[in-house]
Amino acid sequence: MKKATTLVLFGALSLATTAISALIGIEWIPVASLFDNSSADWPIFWDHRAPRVCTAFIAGAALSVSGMAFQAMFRNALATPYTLGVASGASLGAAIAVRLGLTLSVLGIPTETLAAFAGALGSILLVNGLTWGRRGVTSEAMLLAGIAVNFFFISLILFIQHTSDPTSAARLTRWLVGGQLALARFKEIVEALPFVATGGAVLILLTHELNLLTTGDDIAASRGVAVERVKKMLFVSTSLMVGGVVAICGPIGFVGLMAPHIARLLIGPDHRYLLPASALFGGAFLCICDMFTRWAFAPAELPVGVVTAFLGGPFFLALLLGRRSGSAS
Amino acid sequence: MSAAAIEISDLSYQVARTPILQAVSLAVEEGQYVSLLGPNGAGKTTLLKCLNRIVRRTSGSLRIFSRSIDTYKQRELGRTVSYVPQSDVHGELFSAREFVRMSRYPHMSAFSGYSQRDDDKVDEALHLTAANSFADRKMGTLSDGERQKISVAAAIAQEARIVLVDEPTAHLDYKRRVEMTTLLETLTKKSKLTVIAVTHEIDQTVFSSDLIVALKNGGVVFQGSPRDILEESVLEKIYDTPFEIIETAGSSSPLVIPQRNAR
Repeated sequence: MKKATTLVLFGALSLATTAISALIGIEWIPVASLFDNSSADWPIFWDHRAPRVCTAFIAGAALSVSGMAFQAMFRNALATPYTLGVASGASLGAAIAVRLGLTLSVLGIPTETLAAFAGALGSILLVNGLTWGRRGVTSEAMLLAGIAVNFFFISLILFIQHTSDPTSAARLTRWLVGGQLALARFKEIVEALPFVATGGAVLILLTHELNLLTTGDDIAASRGVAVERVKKMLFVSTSLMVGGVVAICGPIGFVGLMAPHIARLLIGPDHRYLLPASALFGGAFLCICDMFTRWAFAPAELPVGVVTAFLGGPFFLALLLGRRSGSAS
Repeated sequence: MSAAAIEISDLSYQVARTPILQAVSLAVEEGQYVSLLGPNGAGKTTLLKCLNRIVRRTSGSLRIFSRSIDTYKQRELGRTVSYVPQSDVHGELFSAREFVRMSRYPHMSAFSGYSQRDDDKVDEALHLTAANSFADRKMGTLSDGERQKISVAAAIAQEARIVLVDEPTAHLDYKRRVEMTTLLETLTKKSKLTVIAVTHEIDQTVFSSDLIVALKNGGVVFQGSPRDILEESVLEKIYDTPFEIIETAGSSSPLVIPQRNAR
């Protein structure tokens, strides 16, 4: 009961923060003008600010929940979509689709998003395949594999960028640091939401399995978890979420690291509570970072990836240095 | 005659052509307490892991309650066989009680939460293992011995008819060792559980087992009753070291002492 109360308070606070952040930016929007369609602020809010904040919330929630799932599955505090190379795999997929001019859509789903999903899934399978089944593979080895995959994919992205025309190259650069978030409209939300919602729904059904996976694969299996099958489901659902998000706003780093950790500190390791808490916290966190990009150097705007990395780098180091042996999850 | 709980025939397991288990055959009846002996690296832990499919055998047949292990769904296997691993328990942030409660997983359906019955079983298991006093502490703060008890409590709460235990007394002091072995024996007798326990201690528990099995280099080198293992040079063959066996008056179990610098 206590945890449920904490979660409700937490949710209310996150949503309130998100709503308030929408009012702050280059233009500070008074609440009254939200209901007055003759006001000059009306289109700024409803056509730009509202979809942008919604996108940021969805992206933050999806990246945070994916990070949470990776941390449970790999029992490593530093496993995130970014550090495992999943986000850069998704970026590579999307970049290839854009470079090849694959701007068609399949059943209403843009090829960019499908390619990002394929890239995300490919890199998670690659990292898992590089380390799976070898005795004594430590979580450090897996992280190193992730980082190697990450660098490799980034080099391919840079290659694509280098061979693109200047306009596309500039767009790609902006997109890689999360700058595309500022341009999100409701169309982007509609594109990302099916991916994020499907992936999220699968994770919601797997909270008991996630709990057991944190206690070790052997224990989980001996308690009746079909470990291989559950991991496959987790790979696909996290790839759906990361792919869907990355295709519309780029590989925003460190949200998947910080948000689940802070949520875990607040509400504990039980994924039945940790999952909604991570989603809410990740969503609110990215909205605040995004608000900061609008407000800090107004009228100029920073790409949101700069802000999350600025906060996330030191956080990552603190986790790495403060980690005692075996306290990975 | 009880029903067969485990029937292993000609089971082998190899990793990259290195044989770990070779042609193991073994039959265990329901309600038996089996002590699994053998030197380090003999394949004892691997055999346990075959019995709950953490390790998939390379060849041979393995039947649990007269059905091939391959026909069990994972949850069903979880309701049938529980496992107390040697050590290396993760999930330090969970409380001991939460950890034990997670072992109710195979009894839950995909969409259900924990029921009152689950909580009752958890309380019962914590009570049986005398683990109540530290049940609400985080796993990461427990001593090795306390964690061992929680691990056994989790297996009990899992309500499986076969319990696989890897060195259940490894981290325990004498008093707790006696408590733990008594508990496992009681569970075998009263609840008709089948227990397979890997052990390095040739002690009272081994001598009161229903069956002793010894592995060496991946194969079964001894299978028999406690009396049989005391026969001339049986232990020496298993462990490659001579033993002195001292019969003690007023005790059912003799003292088994490895000899130094013999020969």
